[in-house]
Formats: sequence, C-alpha cells, structure tokens
Amino acid sequence: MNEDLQPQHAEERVPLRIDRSWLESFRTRIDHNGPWDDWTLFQLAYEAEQARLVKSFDELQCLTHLTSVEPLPHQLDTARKVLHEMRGRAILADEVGLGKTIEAGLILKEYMVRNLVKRTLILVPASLVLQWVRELNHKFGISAVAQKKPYHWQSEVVVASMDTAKREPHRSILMEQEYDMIIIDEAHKLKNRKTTNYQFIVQLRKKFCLLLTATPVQNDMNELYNLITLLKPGQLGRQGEYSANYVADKRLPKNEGGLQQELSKVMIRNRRGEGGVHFTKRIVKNIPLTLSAEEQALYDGVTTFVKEQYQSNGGDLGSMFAMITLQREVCSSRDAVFLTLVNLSKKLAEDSPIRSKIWELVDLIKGIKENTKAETAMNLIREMNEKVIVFTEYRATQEYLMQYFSNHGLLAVPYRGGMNRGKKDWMMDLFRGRAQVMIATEAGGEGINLQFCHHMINFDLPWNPMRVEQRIGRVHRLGQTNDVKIYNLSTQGTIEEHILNLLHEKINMFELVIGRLDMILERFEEQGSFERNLSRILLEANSKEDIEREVHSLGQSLNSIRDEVHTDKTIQAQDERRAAVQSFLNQYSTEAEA
Amino acid sequence: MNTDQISSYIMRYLDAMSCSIMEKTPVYVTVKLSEQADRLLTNRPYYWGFIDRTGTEAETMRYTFVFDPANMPADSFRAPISYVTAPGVPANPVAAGEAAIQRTFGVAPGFNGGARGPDRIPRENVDFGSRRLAQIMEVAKESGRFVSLYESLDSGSEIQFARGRHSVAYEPWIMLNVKLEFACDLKREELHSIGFSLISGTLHTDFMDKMMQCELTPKLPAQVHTMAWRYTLDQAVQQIEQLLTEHVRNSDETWAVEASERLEDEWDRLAAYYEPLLKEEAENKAKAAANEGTVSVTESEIKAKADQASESIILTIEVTEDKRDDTEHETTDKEPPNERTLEEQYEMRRNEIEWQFQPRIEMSIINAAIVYLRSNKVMT
Repeated sequence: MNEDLQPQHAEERVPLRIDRSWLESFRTRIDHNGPWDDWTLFQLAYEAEQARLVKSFDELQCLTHLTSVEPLPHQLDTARKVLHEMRGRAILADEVGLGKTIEAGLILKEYMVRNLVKRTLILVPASLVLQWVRELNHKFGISAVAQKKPYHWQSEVVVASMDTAKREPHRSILMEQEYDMIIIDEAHKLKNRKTTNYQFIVQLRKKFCLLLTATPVQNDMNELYNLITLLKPGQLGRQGEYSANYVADKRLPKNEGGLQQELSKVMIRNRRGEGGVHFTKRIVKNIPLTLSAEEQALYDGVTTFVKEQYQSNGGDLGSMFAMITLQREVCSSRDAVFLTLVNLSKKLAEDSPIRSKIWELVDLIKGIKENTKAETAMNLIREMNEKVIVFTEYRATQEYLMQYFSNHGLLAVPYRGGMNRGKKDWMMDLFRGRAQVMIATEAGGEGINLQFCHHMINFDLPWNPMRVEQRIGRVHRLGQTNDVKIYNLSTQGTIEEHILNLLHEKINMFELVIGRLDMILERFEEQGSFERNLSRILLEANSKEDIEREVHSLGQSLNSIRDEVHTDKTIQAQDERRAAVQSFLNQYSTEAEA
Repeated sequence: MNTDQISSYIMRYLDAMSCSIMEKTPVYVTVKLSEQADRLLTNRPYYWGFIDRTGTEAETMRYTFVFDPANMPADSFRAPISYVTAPGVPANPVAAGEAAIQRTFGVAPGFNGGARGPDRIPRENVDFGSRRLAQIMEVAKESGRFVSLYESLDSGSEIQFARGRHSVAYEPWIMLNVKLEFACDLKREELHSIGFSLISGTLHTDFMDKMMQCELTPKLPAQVHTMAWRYTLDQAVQQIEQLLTEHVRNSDETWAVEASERLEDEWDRLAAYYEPLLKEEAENKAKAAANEGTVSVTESEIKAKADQASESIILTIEVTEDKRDDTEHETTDKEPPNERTLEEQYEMRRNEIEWQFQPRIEMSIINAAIVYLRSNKVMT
C-alpha cells in the first residue's frame, strides 16, 4: 500500500500521513476469528479519545486537566500569548513572586495535552530541582523526574541542574537528544555568550524553549541580546546591527520604542500592581504582655550577665555570638535559655567563676512556674478559632509549645528545617486537615505554602527583618484569598518591645509591598548588618533610655532609606546608567501591551 | 468530562474487568481489583512474577477511587500519600492525632506504610486530568482495539418468525474509528467513525454513535446467518481512507498556509543571521589558509638557508596564530572537543524551525470492528 494517496499533489498540499500499522493485526484476527476484545472496553477507548479530543487550535485545553492549581489571570494570559503569538519560544520575565513556574507549567501541560511535546528537559539551579519536580507532579500531573542516574536522561520529562547537565558524560548524552521542549529557570545565568552554560544550550536540539528570569537585563544591554539570540538567533539582528540600532551605550538603550516592539515578540514581563495580580492586605496586631516577677528576674539576670561578659571581653562583638543568642532566647522561652546555658557551662573549665553565675541563672529558671507568652498565645489561638501558624526561632521553644498546647488539648504539628521532604509534606497535610496549629521554626526555604491559613503569630521576633518577611511570605502570597492577620507577642520592658516598635511603628515593615524590604535592607546593610547593629546597641547601652535612643536613631536611618527607595532617588543618583536599563525594563511590560 | 461521566466511565471499566465493588457512592468507589485489572493498573511486575512462578494465590489490590475530590468527606487520619488503613483506624480522632504527633518525636511506633499488606487501601483521585484516570483510559485503549459483534435478536415476534421459517441474514460492516490530527506548532484533532458495508459498499458516518444505540453481542445469535463478503477488507479500508482524505482536502487550510508562511519567515530570519557569519568565517579561513601557505613557503626558504633561520620561524608562526585567535573570538568560544561548527548550528536551527512549524496531517486508527447487522436494518 502506498503511503500517500495523492502523491501528485504532495508538493503543494499539506502532507497527509496515514498510519496502517494496525491493519495486519486486524486482518489476522479476522482470519482466525479472534481473539476479540471486549465491547465495553472498545466503547471506553472511543470515549476516552472523545473526552481528550483537541477541538480547536486556539483554546487552552490544559485547564480541564488541571484540578490542583488555579492559575491567575495574568498567568493564563501569559500562557496564551506564548502559545499563540510567540509560538512556544519565549522569555518569561515576570517580577519575583508572580508565578513564572506556574506559567511554564501551564505552557508545558498545554503542549503535552495536545501531544506536541513529549521529551522535555528542564534545567534549573540545583537547589530548585526537587521543587520543580514536585510542582510539576502535584500541580500539573506531569510525571517529571529529577536526574540522578544516567538512565534518567531517557525519561520523558527530566529536571536537572545546569551544572550537572553541561558536564561530561551528561553533556554528550544530551547533545544527541532531540527535545520537544527545554525550560531553563534562572536564565539570567545565560547572559554571557562566552560561558560554557551559554555554549552548551546553543548546542542542544530543541523545538520549543522557555527561558525564565526575573532580571533579563541587569547591567549591560548585551545581556538582553545574548538571551534573545539564544532563543531565536537573528531576532534582534546580528550583534553589530543590534548595537547600531538599539544601544546608545553599554548600559543605555536607544530607539526604545523599536526595541520594545522587537522584545514584545519574544518576552513577557508581568509586574506587580498591574491588573490581575492582587495581594490581600496584611493586618498587624501587637499583643503587649507583662512578664511575671520570676520571668522578669530571669530576663534581667540574663541581660546583666550578657553585658558583664561583653565588658570583660573588651567590647569585642565578634566573639559574643553565644551571648547574643542568649539575649535573644530569653525573649522566647525559658527552655531555650536553659539549653544554651547548660551547653555554655559544659564548655567552661571546672573552676571558672562564670559557671557559678550560670547556675544562678539556672536557679532563676527553676523558679519560673508559668509561661506568660505561651499562655497569651494559647488564649489568642482559642479566640480566633481558625488555622494559625506560630513561628519561633528556637527548637526548644517549639518543643515546649508542642507539649504545652497538647497538655491543653490544642492539636498542633511541628515543622522544622531538619525534617526530610516526606515528613514536611506530611506535617503540612496534617495541618491542612486536622491540626489547628502549626509550630514552625523554619520560615525560609521552599515548599511551605500555607495559603489556606491566614493567621500567624510571631512568638518571638528574629532580629533579621528579612526573616520576618519570609515568615509572612509563607502565608501572604499569591493564592491567599483572605487578609492576613499577623500577631506579634511583645513583652513589655524587653529588647523585643524595642525591635517591634522599630519594625512596626517606624518603618511599618509588616505592611510594606512585597519586595520592597529587600531593597531597603540592601541599602541599609551597606553600613553593616541590621542584626549586628542591634546587638551593639543592646550590649553597649547603659540604661533603658540609652536603648530607646539608639533604636530610635536606627529607625530614623532606616526610615530615610525607605523614603529614598520609595522615590527611587538614590538609584538614579547612584548609577544613572544602570537606572536607565532598569527603568526601560520597568516600562517594558506596559508598553509592550499597547 | 464531568464527575458523573467520570463515575460512569470508571464503573463501566471496573465492571468490564470483573472487579468486585465494595462500596459505591456518588463521590467515590472502593473496589477490589480483579487479577486482570491488577496486572494492568498496579504496576507490580515483581509481585505478579512471584505469583506466576510459585503458583501462590494472588491477593489483588483494593483502591478507593474518588470521582469528586471536592466533596470527599474529611477523612480519618492520613499520611500524605493518602493511605488509609481499613481496620484498626483509631475510633477517637484526637487520639489518632496525638499518636501522630508522638510519632514525630519517636515515641509511638512509626507509620508502617504498606507493611500491613492487604489491609491497605490507597485512595486516589480520578478527576479529569489525574494520572490514574489517564492510565485507565490508556489501558482501555490498549484492550479495546478490535471487536467482532452481532446485533441481538431481541423482539419476541421476530424470533418466533425467524425460528419458524428461516434464518435471518446479517450484513457485515467494517467500522473504523479514526483520529485526524492537523498539526503545526499547534494542533487540532477530529474524530470520525465510518462504517462500510461489505455487501453494498455504502459508507456511513458517525457509525459508532449508531452502534452504541444497538444491542450488540459477541456471539452469533441462533437462527442467524452472515452474508458472504462482496468487498475485501483492503477495499473497505481504502474506501474509508479515501472518504477521509477527501474530507481533509476540502477542509479549511488557512492554518497550514499560515504555518508555512511562519516557517519561511523564521528561515529568512535565520538566514539573515547566519549567512553573513558563515561568509565571514569562510573569508577568515581563506585568510588563515593563505597565511599558513606563507608559513610553509617561509619554512622552505628558511630550510634552504638553514643557518640563520631560527628567529624568523618563530616570528612567522606567532603572527599566524594571533590572527586565527582573533577570528575565532568573533564567532565562537574556546571549543570543547564535541562543539558543533557554525554551519552545523545553522543547519540544526533550520531543522528545529521545520520541526516546529511544518504543517502536517496524520490519520490514525483508534479501534476497528466488524459488525454484523440485520440486512434490512435502516441506516439513517
């Protein structure tokens, strides 16, 4: 049988391929009158095809296939645009936190549903490999595997780190493959064409390609050129043409309108605050509490002890790590202090005079009967009667709280960095399903997305504002439908009160727009870290008034930075050229739409 | 597919595979798989290998398939992989919760996963898009490819009539369920079910819908005879293919024209980028070759005057190497051993574009059947 029924028209018409591989098998069964299949299964096979039929070129099919993820409007728009206008080769350059991974997943899923993509290679930084695998599996029902053994390269959807993939023997294996789709996360690592990363990607065979980066251009206009040339060689012409047409200076674009038009053919950049991307509000409430006499005694005792040590040490901040920890822990719980004290005394010589001082403190701990903070927290939780996540910095506090809550009939689950993935997932599942409270020591790191919960309690405050922001970010993120309520337990008359005062009242940190805090801190920390500043204030102050004054001035300097960041003045003053690139990028999304 | 359709789909599958239903609600079904279904669905080749070799009695898996996860009642304590334990679930949920918490501190015995063998009933969502449903659909496709069926003789009077007189003549039809795929960088599909009478040579569309209305049985009913084929299988297939080919040729081809245009555009873009680069490279090579020529000439000259040569050799060679370095800088980086040349890259990019945009149409068979119908059956 001939392959094409109308070979004479073959050149001008779309080639039609007819699959007849089934025919012999059918004929054999007719000749032998069997074996025949079941009529119900026959119908089910037909119905399966009916249900999965792709009826039109345009419509997004993948949505009916997705039940565990609800894409946001801007993510859907992006997916449609990449599929229909950019034809599957695009740079996804959304700002941080808008869900580039979801967009990439949508696009990949759509191609897979349409059976246009089977073999897929996903290259990401090593630390994100497992997260990608999980998201693709859980959210998109795509059976992705993390590359660990050489044979994994043969799987249909493989996630690997760029550093592994570009090395031999992997490199040679990959060079021989044909990938229907390649996705590269953190693609700004490909901005320099002289690097092995870049050269490696150039060598790969690919049909569709997505490059994900929040910063498609940082310093140099050539970065943009390289990235786009990798995706579509010639889109911006040759290097010389590009330089002549669009680049005034290494860091200064020209003919911005023209460049933006070219870019809009290959790059999508959604920005915060544009239609569709909506974050709910953060409502902050400080819960003041007063320590019992015994607890206050311990706090004072530890503070004095720490200060003495500092002075006898000649004011060397570097060697005071344990002491500062102690000072911080005393704000959290007696359990945390106790552990550190014990460990401290173990390290000291038998006859050290400090030992007796430590044991005096331990005696103070023994005198404490109640835990004001834990009690306040529990009442708070009982009152709101909804899911709540409690953050603490210390393992000891966490375990104490677990026990305390469970003694009072409150169901709580722990969560900490050291747990393995399965256990973390399990804890999340328990929290979602049964427990009212999750007590977490780890705020950073990927994987905890708790959009279903909108109450959080800062049982103690980290001295690093970024960590506070990370905590909030676990709950206050895309997909959160309620306003997020943040409760801070603030103990009167301790350093915590000052810090809270500083973060909350002075710089209004809790209600800052996401992403703004990074900028403020980055600027601030050009003069030394925030934590260090706090420690110094605390150790050197002679009186309560001293502390107040110092914290106040810290707040002022943060505040002035905040205002600068707000108006973007410093950026321009600091580096006008860099600003030009950035502001070009900032305009990009809006103008590309027009 | 909505929840009801999925529910009906799964139930019919389980029934066809003779699985025994333990519990069924509109939201989920708990089922003990038949051996056949277990072999196809559970991916336990080692287990079945063991059973087959030792002749042990097999214990098939039980599953709870959830059609409607949103309405699934919040259930007793579960691990993230969704295992529930059939007997022995602690009656008191608080106790269960506490046990779990204690477990995290290593107090209670750890969760023993599947170690309890047949007690374990994994729970799985089979909403549309879920992997399990996709798998069941795949399996159905594999095991529902070819059938041969007869129309039942149902109404009493006809049977009486048939019994009394002579046997009823059945007309053989070939039915093909065909998928057409129109693909470029995107894709559209069509499903066709065509029946071809091996007696009259007539063609009918939407044949499957009609068949699903009929009462069909795999056994030839009594007092029935099948008519001899007047067309061969190949003729039937050819007729159906021809019908569909005409359909394809008459359908809107704008998409293909557009895709071809895109293909050409993309090729032009590549050409504009690569061809000057290739020319440059060729020129540079020529230059380099010319320079090398100079070297050899110089060398031979030098050999002639062997004495004072050493200095000038070094000089010439240095110059040549410098130049080559410069030219390479423009085009590629330092080359690892398996680097592709510029020309190969160009070819590769061209092929990628063709692979991406080239419009094509594919015709493939989902399944095929021979159906014997009463010859006086009116096909509308």
